[in-house]
Amino acid sequence: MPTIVSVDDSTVPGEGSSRLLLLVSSDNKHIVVEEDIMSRSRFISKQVEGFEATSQRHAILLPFSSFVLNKVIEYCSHYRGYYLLEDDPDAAPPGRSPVREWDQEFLDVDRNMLLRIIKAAHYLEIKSLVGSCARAIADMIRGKTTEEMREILGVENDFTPEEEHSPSSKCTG
Amino acid sequence: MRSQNSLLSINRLPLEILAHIFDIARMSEWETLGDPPSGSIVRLSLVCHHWRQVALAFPALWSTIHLRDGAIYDFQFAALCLERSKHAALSVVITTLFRGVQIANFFAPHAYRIQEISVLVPFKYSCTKVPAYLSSTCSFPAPKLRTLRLCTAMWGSFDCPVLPALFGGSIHEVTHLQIESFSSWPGHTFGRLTHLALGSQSQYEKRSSMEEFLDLLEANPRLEELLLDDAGPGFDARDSRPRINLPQMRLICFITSSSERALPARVLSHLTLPEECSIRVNRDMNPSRFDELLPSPFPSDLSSLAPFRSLDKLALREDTVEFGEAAMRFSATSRRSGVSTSYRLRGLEPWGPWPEGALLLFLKAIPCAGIRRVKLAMADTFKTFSEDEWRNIFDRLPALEELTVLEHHAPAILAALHCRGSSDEGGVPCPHLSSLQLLRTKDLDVEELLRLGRARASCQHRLKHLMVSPGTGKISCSDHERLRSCFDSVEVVVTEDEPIFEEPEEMMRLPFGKDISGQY
Repeated sequence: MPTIVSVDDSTVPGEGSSRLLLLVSSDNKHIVVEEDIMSRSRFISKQVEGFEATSQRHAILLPFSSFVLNKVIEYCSHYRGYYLLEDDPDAAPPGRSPVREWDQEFLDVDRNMLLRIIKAAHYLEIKSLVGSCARAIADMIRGKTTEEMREILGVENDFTPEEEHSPSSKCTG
Repeated sequence: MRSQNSLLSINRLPLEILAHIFDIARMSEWETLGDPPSGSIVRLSLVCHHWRQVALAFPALWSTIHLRDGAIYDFQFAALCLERSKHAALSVVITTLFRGVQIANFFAPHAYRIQEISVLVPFKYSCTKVPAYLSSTCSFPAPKLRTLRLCTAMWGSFDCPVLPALFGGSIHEVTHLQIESFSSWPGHTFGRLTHLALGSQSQYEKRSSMEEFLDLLEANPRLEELLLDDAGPGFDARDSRPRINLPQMRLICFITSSSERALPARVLSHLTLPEECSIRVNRDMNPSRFDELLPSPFPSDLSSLAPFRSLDKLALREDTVEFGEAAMRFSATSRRSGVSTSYRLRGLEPWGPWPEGALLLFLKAIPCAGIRRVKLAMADTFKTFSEDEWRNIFDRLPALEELTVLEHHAPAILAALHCRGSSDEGGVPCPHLSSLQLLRTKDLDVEELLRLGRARASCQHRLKHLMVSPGTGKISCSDHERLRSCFDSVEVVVTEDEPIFEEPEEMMRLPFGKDISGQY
C-alpha cells in the first residue's frame, strides 16, 4: 500500500483548469502533475476518490524513482484525453495489445528501464502501458531459442539434471 | 544459481505480468513466424525454473492446440497441452487436409471448452475436397464456439462453393467469423456477430446478392468490424431499401481488386455508421489505366456516415505498409476515427501520373473544409509537382493551420503558399496557416522562406511558427536571426528520427481476418 501523507497547501501550486496532484517518488522527488494527466491510472483515480471523501489534500508516495515516474507521466501526458480501449474499466479487455507507433519510440529504452516502467505501470494500474511494455519485452524474446533468451535476459540455466531430462521438457511442439 | 536468477529484474516482475509477456510472445510468434503457440511456451518454460513454474501455473498459456499437416507427433503434444491447459478455454488450429475423423474424435471429449477453431488449409491443398474435409473434421458439437475461421483456398473449384453444415449446424453463438472462398452458408444462421471477415470469393458470378449480404448485416446489429477482402456481394440492392444502422461498428475494411473497385461506395451507401467507425479502402492499381481510379472510394452522399463529419487531419504517405503490403496511402482522421484510401503497389513504384489523380479523387470524396493539420510524406511521388499543382491541393484546404512536410523539394511548396492578392479575393492559400514544419526538406532556400514569411505577414496572414530540419545545407546563426524577423518563433532542429504519424488505432491495426496472416 502506498503511504499517503498530508501536505501543506503551499506545497501544491494553485488550481487551474485541472486539479494538481503531488506525486513523491522513492528518491523523494516531488512532482506536481495535473490530475487529468494521471486519470489514466486506476490507482491514482482511486486515491483521488479517497481524497475527496476526506476533503484534504495529500501527496501520493510511490515506490519507484523520479526517473521512472517521469517516463510514466510523459506517457500519460502524450495520451491525455485519448481514448484507449485497454484503459476503459467498463470495456471488455482487448484480445491483445495493439501496437502504437509512438509507444514503440517511447519504449526504445534499455532492458532494465523497460522492466522498471512495466512494474510502475502495473502498480499504477495503467493497462495500456503495461500492454505496450509487455509487447516490447516479448519482442526481445520472440523467435529466439531457449539459449538465446537466457543470453538476452541474463538468465542462468538453473534446472537440475533431473528436471532437464524430464520427458515433458523434450516436447517442443 | 536459482537464487541468483531470482534477483533478476525480469524474475521479480509480478507473476501475472510475466505470464502476460509469455502470452504475447507465443501469440506473436504464431502471427509472424508461424510457430505453434504451444511450442513457443515449451521453449519459454525451458529457460529457467522460475519461468517453468510460471508457465505451468497459467493453464491458458497451453490452450492453443495446433494440429499440422503430416505431424502424427502433434497428437501426443496436443494431449499434453490439453492436460496442462486444465479447464481453460481452448483455441484449436488445424492446418492439414487429412485425418478429419481422427481430429474430430480427438477433440470431441473437450468440445465443451473449445472457444475458437481455425481451419487453415495450406495453399498446396487448395482443391475441391475442402467442403468434404470440413464436414468430417468439424462434426463434433461445439456449444461454446465463439470464433470460427475457415481459411480455405479453393482455386480448383468451379462449382458454387457452399459451406456444408458444421458442428451440427449449431454455431449461432459465434461472434467472430472468418470465411474464405465460400459465398453462401445455408443451414447456418448468425445473429451475434461482432466481427465478420469474408475473403477470396473469386467467383464473382457466384457471390451472394447485395440483398442477401445486407440481410446478414441487418441480422447482426452488434457488428464492430467488417472486412471484405476480395469478397463481397453483387450490386443488386434496391435503392429504396432503408439504410442499415450499425451503431457498434468501429472498423470497415475493403481490399478490392481492380474489377470490383465500385464495391466500397456501393456497400457504404446502404449503411448508417457512428462517428467512432473508421473506414479503410485498399485498392489494386494498374498504373497504365487511369480509368481505374474511378469511381470514388466513398459514396457521394455522406449524410449517414458520421466518421466523415469531424475529419481534421490529413496524412499523405507513400511509404506505408497496409494489410501487409507496400502501399501509398491517403488518410483523413479525427480524434477517434478516420477514413483512408490506399493503393497496393506490388512491386510498382508510387510515382507516375496517377497518384495525383488518386489524391484529388480522395480530396474530392471527403469533406476537406475542416482539415486543420496536414502531413505530407510523398517526396518521391510528388517530386515533379509544380507550384500550380501544389496550389491546387492547398486551395482545397481552407482551414489548414499546421503543415508538416517531410523530405520534399521545398521550393514549389513554398511558392504555392505565397499570397497573390487579398484573402477576400481568394488570393491567400490556406489563410489560417500558422505553423510550418519542414523536415529534412531538399533544396531549402532561406531567402525563399524569408520571402514567404514577409509576403504572408504583409497581407495579415503571418506564419507564427516555423520548424526547420534541413535535409541539405544548413541554416546559419545569422539566417536564424533573419527568419525570426518574419516568424514569431523559429526552431532549427537536427533530427534523423522518423516523424510520428499518430492516428486512431483502428486506422493502423490489422483487422480481424488479417490478424493471423503468414501462419499457414
